[in-house]
Order: sequence, then structure tokens, then C-alpha cells
Amino acid sequence: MGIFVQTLGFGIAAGAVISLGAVGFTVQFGISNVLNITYGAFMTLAAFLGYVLLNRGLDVWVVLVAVGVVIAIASAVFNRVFLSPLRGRGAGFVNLIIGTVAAAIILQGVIVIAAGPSAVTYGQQYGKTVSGAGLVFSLAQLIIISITVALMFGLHLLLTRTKVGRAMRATSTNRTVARACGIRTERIIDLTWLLTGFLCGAAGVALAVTTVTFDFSIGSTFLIYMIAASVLGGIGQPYGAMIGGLVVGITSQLGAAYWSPAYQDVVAFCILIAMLLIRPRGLFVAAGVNRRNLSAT
Amino acid sequence: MTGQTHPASHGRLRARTTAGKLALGTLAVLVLSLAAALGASAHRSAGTINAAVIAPFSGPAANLGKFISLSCYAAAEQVNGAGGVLGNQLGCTTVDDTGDPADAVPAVARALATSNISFASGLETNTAAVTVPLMNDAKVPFFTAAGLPAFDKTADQYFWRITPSDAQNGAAYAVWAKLKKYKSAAIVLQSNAGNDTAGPGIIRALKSLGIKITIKIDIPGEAASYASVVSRVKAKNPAVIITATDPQTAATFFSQYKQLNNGKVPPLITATASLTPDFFDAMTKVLGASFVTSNISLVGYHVAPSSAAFAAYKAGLASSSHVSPSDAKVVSGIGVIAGLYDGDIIMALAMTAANSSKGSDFNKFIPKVTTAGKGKVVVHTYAAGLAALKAKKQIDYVGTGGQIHFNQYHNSAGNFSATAFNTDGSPRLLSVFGAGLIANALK
Amino acid sequence: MTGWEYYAVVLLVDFGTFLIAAWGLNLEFGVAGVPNLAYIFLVAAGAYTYAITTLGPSSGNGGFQHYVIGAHLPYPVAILCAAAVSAVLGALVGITGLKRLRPDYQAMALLVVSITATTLVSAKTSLVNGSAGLALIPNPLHSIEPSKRGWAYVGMVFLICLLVFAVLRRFTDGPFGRLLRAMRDDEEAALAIGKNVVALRIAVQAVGGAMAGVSGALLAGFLGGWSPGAWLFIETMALLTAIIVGGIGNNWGVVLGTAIVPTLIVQGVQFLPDISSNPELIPQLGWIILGCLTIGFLFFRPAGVIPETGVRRRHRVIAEPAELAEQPADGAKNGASMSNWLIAPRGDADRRLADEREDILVVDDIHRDFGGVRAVDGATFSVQRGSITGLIGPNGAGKSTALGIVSGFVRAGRGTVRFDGADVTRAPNYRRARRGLVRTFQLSREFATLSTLENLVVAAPRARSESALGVLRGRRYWGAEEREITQRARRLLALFQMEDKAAERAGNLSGGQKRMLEVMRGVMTQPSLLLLDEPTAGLSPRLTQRLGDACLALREEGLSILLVEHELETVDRLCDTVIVMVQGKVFARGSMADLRTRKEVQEAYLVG
Repeated sequence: MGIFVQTLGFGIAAGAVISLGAVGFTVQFGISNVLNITYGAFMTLAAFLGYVLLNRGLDVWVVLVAVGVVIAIASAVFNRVFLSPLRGRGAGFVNLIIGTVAAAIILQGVIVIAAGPSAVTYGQQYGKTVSGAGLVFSLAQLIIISITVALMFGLHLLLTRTKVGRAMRATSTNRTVARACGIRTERIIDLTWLLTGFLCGAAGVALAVTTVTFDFSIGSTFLIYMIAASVLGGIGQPYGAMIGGLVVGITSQLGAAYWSPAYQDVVAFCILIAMLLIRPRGLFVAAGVNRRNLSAT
Repeated sequence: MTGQTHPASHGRLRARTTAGKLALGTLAVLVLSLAAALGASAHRSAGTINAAVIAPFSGPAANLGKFISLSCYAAAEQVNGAGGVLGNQLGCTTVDDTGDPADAVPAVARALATSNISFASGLETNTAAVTVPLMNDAKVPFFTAAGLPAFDKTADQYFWRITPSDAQNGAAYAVWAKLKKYKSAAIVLQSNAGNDTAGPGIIRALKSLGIKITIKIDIPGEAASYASVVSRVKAKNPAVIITATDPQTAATFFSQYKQLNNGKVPPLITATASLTPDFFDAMTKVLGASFVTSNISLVGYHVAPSSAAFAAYKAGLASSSHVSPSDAKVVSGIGVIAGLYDGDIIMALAMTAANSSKGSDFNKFIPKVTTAGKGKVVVHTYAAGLAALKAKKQIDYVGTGGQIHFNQYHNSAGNFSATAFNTDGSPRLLSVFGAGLIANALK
Repeated sequence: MTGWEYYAVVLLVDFGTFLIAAWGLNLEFGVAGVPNLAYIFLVAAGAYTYAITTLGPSSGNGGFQHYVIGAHLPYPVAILCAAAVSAVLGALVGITGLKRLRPDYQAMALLVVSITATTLVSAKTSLVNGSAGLALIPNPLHSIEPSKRGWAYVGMVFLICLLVFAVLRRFTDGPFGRLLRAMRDDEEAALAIGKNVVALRIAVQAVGGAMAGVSGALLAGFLGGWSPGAWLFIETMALLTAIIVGGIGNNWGVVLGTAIVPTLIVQGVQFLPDISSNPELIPQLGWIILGCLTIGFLFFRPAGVIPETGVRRRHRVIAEPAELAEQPADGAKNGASMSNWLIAPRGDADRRLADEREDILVVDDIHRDFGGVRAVDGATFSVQRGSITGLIGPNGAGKSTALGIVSGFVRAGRGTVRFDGADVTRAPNYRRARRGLVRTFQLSREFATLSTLENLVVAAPRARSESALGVLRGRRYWGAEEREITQRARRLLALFQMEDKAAERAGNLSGGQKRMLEVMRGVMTQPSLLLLDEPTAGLSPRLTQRLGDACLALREEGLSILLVEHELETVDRLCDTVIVMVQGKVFARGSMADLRTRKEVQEAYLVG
């Protein structure tokens, strides 16, 4: 029992990191309606930028924001010059994915050329540990968990309670109708990409700091977890991503504790595949922020 | 939502007009790259004997390739400094096998086609399964760094190995744990090609040496969290952890170990392949300098730093323009790389003895220039060997790892050593133990 | 053999094995529209199967590697085993298509399948030796002396390429390819004409899988080793790039793409002068060029260098006009209406029997909620055999939803649907269509890349060329039937006065023509009850007239029609009986003349 509770704690800590990345991903996917594989490569970029800036002695919070802004702009530009025109040329869902995979390959290639293939290490960033009731958390993990919870609430409120948020949802559901209703869809789309790009950048730095060491593959590795978390929670739902992330984190840690760590990812991935086959709208569809037709038609 | 718009439904109207242009463009690309290919092969200067370094030079294992290539550059310095081989300069051609067997074969085939390769070194674990037969079929002798037990009893005539197999490496960790009188050990290996084959060796040796295995666990590389694994390992309270992972995985794993175990981490035994600045830096940042210098021992194939051969090796590294001083410092601690240097020197000597740079001619001279015997001149450098051969004497090259004894399978069992890090990351020899101990532990 | 010769051998073997795999993926993705991002896993499965069936027991060679089976089978058998295993795995992977997900979700699921497979195979060392992979895999030509083995291998690979191509053509060209392209263009419409999309997709993924298996086996046999490093997910991207560059959906385009992408570019960059000291530059440059190529083609030429075979060229294969001149020999049919040949002929006895049986469609108390909104709320109605029944009502009355429930495209929350004497409430939509209960869509859903004629021909029910096995037997097996079907399609075109549009790409038709096509395609399935969802919406008066004439002619032949319609004039002209729906319930029923006199109907209709 003690081990179980402890593993649960590890899962929550690991899951919080995944959730942090997934919150931005799920909102971007939900609103833009594009499965953007490049999100992972942007996270890698953020991790390396953060590494460079932190080594210059900047404060971690400053770095988080600075990198967030850079990635936000990069994401919006990416959508403006690449995804949006590609879609305008009639590219279907699959071609859009292939396009984003290609872009991710290019970006990752450039990162490897610039930063090399080896891993870089931040050093011990864990700080003090806080334990209680059989659970152990480090300060950094607690901070990440709080940021994630705050983001989740903030985004949820933004999407459901504010005018901008409603405009975003309207735009994602039907762009033409949204425009007819007087929503400046172009601006809303830019705003979406800026916002989710910022989350991507900030999460990239936070991820790199908490995993202590990383290399060029950090983004693509995490992307799979983020996809899993987003699908579990239902695409487009910030708190869904949070719960999805926790499910992924906890199952993989339980897998590592009770089965074999070599299979820890397999457990999470199998859950994802099963979800896609059984309940592709996610666990919490009823209260969905963004209800969409996921069938082939 | 409507069904996806299929790409085939676009662009057809323009197809007829642009298809011709595109076809022409494609043709132009074809011709250009062919020309480039021929050009690349044409500018190879005559009077060079090429040694291929077949290893990953890109991707996650790129550092391994870089280090392996340094051994070749050092050997080339030594050989060319003594006047070259058979009147030719020795040159090193790097062949990037990328660590992927399907990509390695075209890469090696390309190298065989475009460069006149006389011998090779490298051929490490990830791709050895496909590169070894290929080189053997091409009748190009080579020294491999791969520890695959597949080659413990190989019939390949052009295969040579003076570095240990993975099973022996695994046993060496256990022997060192025994010498250090640890009563129990946990085994934490990153699942990868080398470790999958070393694992059984570790277990067998630990068992036969009477050390309790508290837990043996394989972990995936580069995961974000190892907390559950860490708690499983620390619950068993091992006296020592035998581990082999990449620097990134090690840093994450042991930082979490430290965090979850109130700042305490048991001593670590790991591979000499980790004698890299990446590993040293990562572990120093995570576990602190004092832990890294006093509690990590790195076990592997031994080279004798005080030997004349090693001095020549170091001199070669120092004088090569391809080797930076910092790399030279790092690489001189990794036995396997020095072993490959010996391999290159042996090849050059065998060519001289055979008076031919053709693999099928000089291959059988490889044991002749390395076997001890009465009346043979013992040499430690290429220059000395060359002089002796010119004087029509038989030679016995004793390399950085000591006397070489090739068995019928072209393997030679060397010694092992344990090293530790100095505060600047350079290696410090702790102890040397003979191949006999390893063989006993594996019985 | 010189070094250059050997290099050429390696490149040619690489080319051949890559080509087989790319063809297979093109069949799945290019022709059938299945975004199989797990394809490289099937190649790997073939390689491993070949390895463990040709290698002796695992304990051999000093037991240095661990694997299952170790059967020491003869090489041809091993290659067939590889094809079979990959085919089965391909079909299993095809299960991800069961829940008809949006294509990007499907792609995502398959991507995760690929990554999971790599993780599992690497972790489970006892299966195929984990991450170290398998070594000493026997070369199928090892009995040939080494100096000749390389070229012999090239010869063998190319021979197998030809064999594979011969089989592949039967799937990608001709009637089966047409069927797959229809499914790719519009899955929903394919279901509506009674095509079992899931079964088709699984069949395609089995065939594509078998090709992946052959490719993997040939590669492993040549390389002599195989490990997880050789089949990372990114390799599927290389295959996709080759397909996109060469020409998606075109086998020859794939040949060109395979020549350009892996051979020229991946090998070509290695010959670039090493201008910098950065060892990552050249290998990464290869990937970057691949990425740029993909993006460039997606942007500027999504159809690839050699686009999919055009409609007109395909038409030459369908039917020669000369054959159309022949009149049916059956004299009894002469003089009857044109539609004689259009729907399944029903004898007089059959018709008499029909009169005694219950109505062709009996819908009892059906319900459907959409997120709390009751679209259909206990509607009960029936359609008489041989009648044209109108379904009218104000917007939001639930007419289209009711039609959806009847045709099986919308699940009924409650209630039953009986068709032709059988309860079909639980039957899947395509099965209802096969029984003769066929719908059209409110927004036309044509198979855009097929011609008008192909759109009709593909809708013919139970064609011999519809099964993978049937199509393998070749034209001799399905050719005659195909000619008959084509004739019927031409007649239908004549009835709707659209012969001149036969060879037009359906995507290029005008809105009105697409509507007509939609109805014609429904008729082509030889239904007994046709559900038309606002067929005249957006039609010119002339076309409306023409469509009406055709409907009446078809009714003469015994076809029953349920017509959802807004245009009361059309309803007046065509319908025998009219059902009025208001707020999800049937409000009234009777002839149009009768209903006009009922005040409450007028009120409800106008107010509702």
C-alpha cells in the first residue's frame, strides 16, 4: 500500500509535467483543428533557448516568459506562412499532419546542427523535497503542479467566460459562420497561436528544467505523452488535458513499479490507442468546451 | 466535416504543362549528383592508404564515432611520422553508419566504392551485425569495437578484436564489485544493444562470485521520470549499483535517486565508455563533484598508461591536427579507443610485413606481427616495428593493452581496469585485473 | 566485384525493396486513403519473420542471441511467411479504422501503434533479441558464390518487384482501384451505396501489409541483420515523401519518387563536399531536404510529378462505346419504359406477392436526441410498395434525421425500423443499402476524382470485382459483368440526359449535375426503396422536371421512393402519399390534395 501511494505521488509529479505541456497543445489542436506535430519541435527549441538563457544567469521566471514570447511569435508566424496557406490550398487532414511532421523534421534538423546531438544538463534543480502522507514532491514539482492548475483554470475561464474565448471557440467550430457573426477570425486565429505558442515555449523550458537533462528529442518524446493526455481528456479541454496528463503519468509509473520500467510507456500508449478506438472524444465529453465531429465525415 | 480533400484532386490541370519541366529538373538533379559522386571519387589523391573509421558520426551516438576516429588519426600520425606504409601516407576516412543497420550498409558500400580502403576500424555494436559480414565479404581486414558475443566464436577471416566482448565486460563489473568487497549489488541498465548482451554476463559473474543481486532492472533511456524505478531500487538497499546508461538517462535517474533517498546515492560501477565530459559534467551537476570523484568507478578494457605504446598513442593524439587537446585528454582514458589504435598500428605493420596493402595478402600477417615468440623483436611503436621489419627480423607488437594473444576466432583476451574521475574529469587508474579473473567469474 | 559494383548492388537492392514498400503504402494511403503511419512496423515485422524462420534454433551459434521460433525454413517459404505475418498484422492495425475516426485521429492512432511497437520489441529481449537486434540472418542466395551473389540478388529483387507489380495493378487499377478511390473520396457516400468500408480497408491493409512483409524480408536477407534502429517511425515519413513527390496514387509516380528520394537525395547528400567541421550537417541536411521537398510538393504540386491516372485514360479501360450500341436481346423488355434495365427486374408474381405483404418500410416510434434537443420524438410512419411518398415539414421538423435513422446513418434512440419485412433497426448502414434501402444526401457527396460514369459503375451491387479475391482472378472473371454494369450506367445517364457528362470528373460537375448524379448513383445500386433527401434543392426548373420524370419512370418499374422535399409543387406532382412532420412527430398523412384542405396542417406548416 505504501508503495502504491508513493507511486501515485510519482505519477502525479510526472503527470503534472505532461499536463503542463498538454494544456497548450490541446487548446491549439482544439481551436486550430490541426494536429500540429511541430509543437514538439517548438518545445525542443524552447528547451535549448531556455538552457542558453539560464546559463547566462537569468532568473528562471524571466527565462520562462522570454522564451514563451519567442515561441509565441514563432508559432503565430508558422501558422501564418505555413499551415494557413497550406490549408487554403485544400490540403486535407492527413496532408496537414504530413506537412507538420516535415516542418518538425526540418526544425529538429536545424536544432541538431546548431546545438549538437548530445544531451545538455541543467544540474540539480530539484530544490527541497516536501513529503507527507507517503507522498514525496520536490519544490519544483509543486511549482509545476500549481502552474498547471492555474493555467487550466485560467484557460477554461478564458474559453468559456470571456468574449475572446467564445470567439475562439466559434472560430474553431465554423470559421465562415463566425466571420458572418462579425468575429474577426484572422485576428482570433493569430491570438490562438500566440497564446498556445507561449504555453508551448514556457512548458518547454519548464520540462527541460524538471527533467534535469535533455537532448534534441525531448519535444518529440513529450509530444506523444501530450497527445495521449489530450485525447484522454478530450481535445480542446484544458482541464481534460490536466486529468489526461495525470492518467498518463500515473499509469506509466504504476507500470514501472509493478511491471517493468521498460514497458512504462507502452501502458500509457495502449490506453491512448484504446481510447481512440472506443471513446475518441475523450473521457469527459459531456461537459465539452469544444464538441466536434470526429467521425470520418 | 467533409471527407479529406485528396491531393490527387488538385493540380491535375497544371499537370501537363509543368510535368515536363519537373521531369527535366529531376533529370538535372540526377546528372548533377552523379557528377558530384564521380568528382568526389576522382579527387582522392594517389599515394594514400585509406583506413576507414566505420562508426556513428551523427545522431545520438555521434560522440562515439568521433572518439573512435581519434584513434585512427593518432595512428596515422605515428605511421606517417615514421615514413608511412609501403611509401604511402596513411589517411583516415570516416564512414557514418548512423547507428541504423539499414543505413549502415549503403554507407559502407559507398565507402568501399569511393575510397580505396585497405583496412577499417570501429564497426560498433549497433551496426556490427550488418557491417562485419559486409567487410569480411569485401576482404578488408578490420578491428571491431563491438562487444557482441556473436563474434566470440566467429569464422570471419578478416575479423579481428582485441577489445573484450560484452559478456566479459559485464563480468568485469562483477569482479570489481568483488574486489571492492561489496556484498550486494543492484543492476540498472538502460535497454540498448550493448547492455542487452552485457546483462547476462553481469548476472552470471555476480552469482558465481557470491554477490547478492538485490534487483536487476532495465530502464528505457531518456524518460522524464524514473521515480518508481528509483524507489524499487533503493528499497532493496544495495551496497553498490552497477549501471550503464547514457549521460542523460544517468543524470535524470540519479538526480531522482538522490532526491528520493534523502540525498544519498550508493557507489556506482559503470563502464569506461562513460569516461566522457558529457557524463562527468552531467553527474557532477547532479550529484556533486566529491561524489563523482570518489564514488564512481569505471570498469573496462585496460590500457597501460605507462607503456611505450601508450606514450606513442598519446604523442599521436597530441600531434594530430584532427584532435583537440580536450578530446585527447578524454579519449586517452577509454581503453577501447586505445585498443583500436593498436589495431591500426598492427594493420600498418602487417602490410609492411606482407609488402602489400591488399587485405587478402596482409590479413594473415596480422597474427604474425603480434604473436610472442623466441627471437622475435618486441616493438611498441610503428617506427620500431618498421625498422625491425626492414632489418628482416620478425616482430611482436606489444600494444597499449600489453601482449596480444589471438585465439582461433581472432579474439584476444586483454586485461581490465577500474578508473575514477579526477576533479577535472580526467581518468585516474584504480586497479588492473587480469583476464583470468573474468574467465573464472564467467565459468 | 569492385567497390563501385557493390555500391550499385546495394543501391539497387535498396531501391527495389523500398519500392515494394512504397507501392504498398501508396495502395493504402494514395489509393485507399488510409493514413497508415505504422507502415514501417509492418516492414519490420516482415524482416523479423524472415529472420526467425530462416535462422536455426535460438540456441545455435553459441546462443548469443535470443528469439522465438528459429524454424530453419526454406527461403521462399520464409518470404511467404513474412508476407503472411505482415498481412495479418496489417489487418490488425486496420482495426484502428473500425471506429470511423477523422483521418488525422486515425493517423495519430497509427503513429502511436508504430512507436509502441518499437518500444515493445526493444524491451522484450526474448522475442527478437531486443535493441541489439538479430545478426547472421541467412542470405537467401547464399549458395551462389559471393562474387555473383550481389547481382543475383538485384535480379531476384527486381523479379519480385515485377511479380508484385503484376498483382498490385489488379488492386490499384480497374474496378477495385475505382472502388478504393471512391472510398477515399467519400467514405460516407461509399457506405450509402452499400460498400463495406471497414472490410475493404482491412483487406487493403492486409494486401499493403503483405507487400511490406516481402520488402522487409528481402531487405533483412540482404543486410544480414535487423534491429529496432532500422524501423523508427521516421522511416514511414521517407516512404510518404517518396509517394508525395513521385505522384500520389500512381504506381509509376512511386517508382520515380523512390528513385529520387532515398536514392538520389539520401545518398546524394553524402557526396556533398564536407564544407564545415560539423559532422551533423550532412546527415541532417538529408532530412532537411526531405522535409523541404515534402512541404514544397504539398504546397505547389500535391499531385506529385506524375499525377494519378486521369479520368479519360481510365475510361478507355471501362467500356468501348461500340459495345453500347448493342441492344439487349431480350425482346420482352422492349417497348417498356427505359428504366427496365435500371433497377432489379421484378416479375409479376413477385409484384402480386408484394401487394399482399406489409408496406416496404414501417417506422415505429423512433426517437433521437442531440445533446438534449429532440430532433425526432416518436415518429411513426410507413411507405407503401411501389409508391412515391413525400416527407414534408418545416425546418427543424426532424425530416433529415428521420431519413438518417431509416438509412442507418443516425442511430435511433428508441423505436424500430422494419424494411421489406425484416427488422433492420440494428443493421449497419451499408447492410441496409445492400438489402435495397438506399439514401442520397442533402449536400451532394460525389466521388470527386472519379468520372460521372465511374461514380455510377462503382455503385453496382455485388459486383464480382468488389472482392479482393475476385479481382485477383482478373478481367476474364469480372469483365463481362463490368460491361453489363457499364451499359446499365449509360442507360441511366440517358434517362437523366447526362450522357455528355459521362467522362467528366465528378468534382467538376455543376451543383445541379451533382444532385442528379447523387440520385442516379442511388438508382444504380438497384434499390427497392430510395430515400431522396431534398433532391431538387438548387436545381433549375428544367432539371427538376427531368428528375421528376425519371422518378416517375422508376416508380413504374416498381421502385419505391421516400422523398424529403421542400418544394410543394414537386411533391404535388410526384407523391402518392405525403407525410407531414412537425417537431419530431408525424403530424398528418394523406394525399397532397387532401392535406391542402386541412387547416391545422397549413397552420403548423406555416407557423412551425
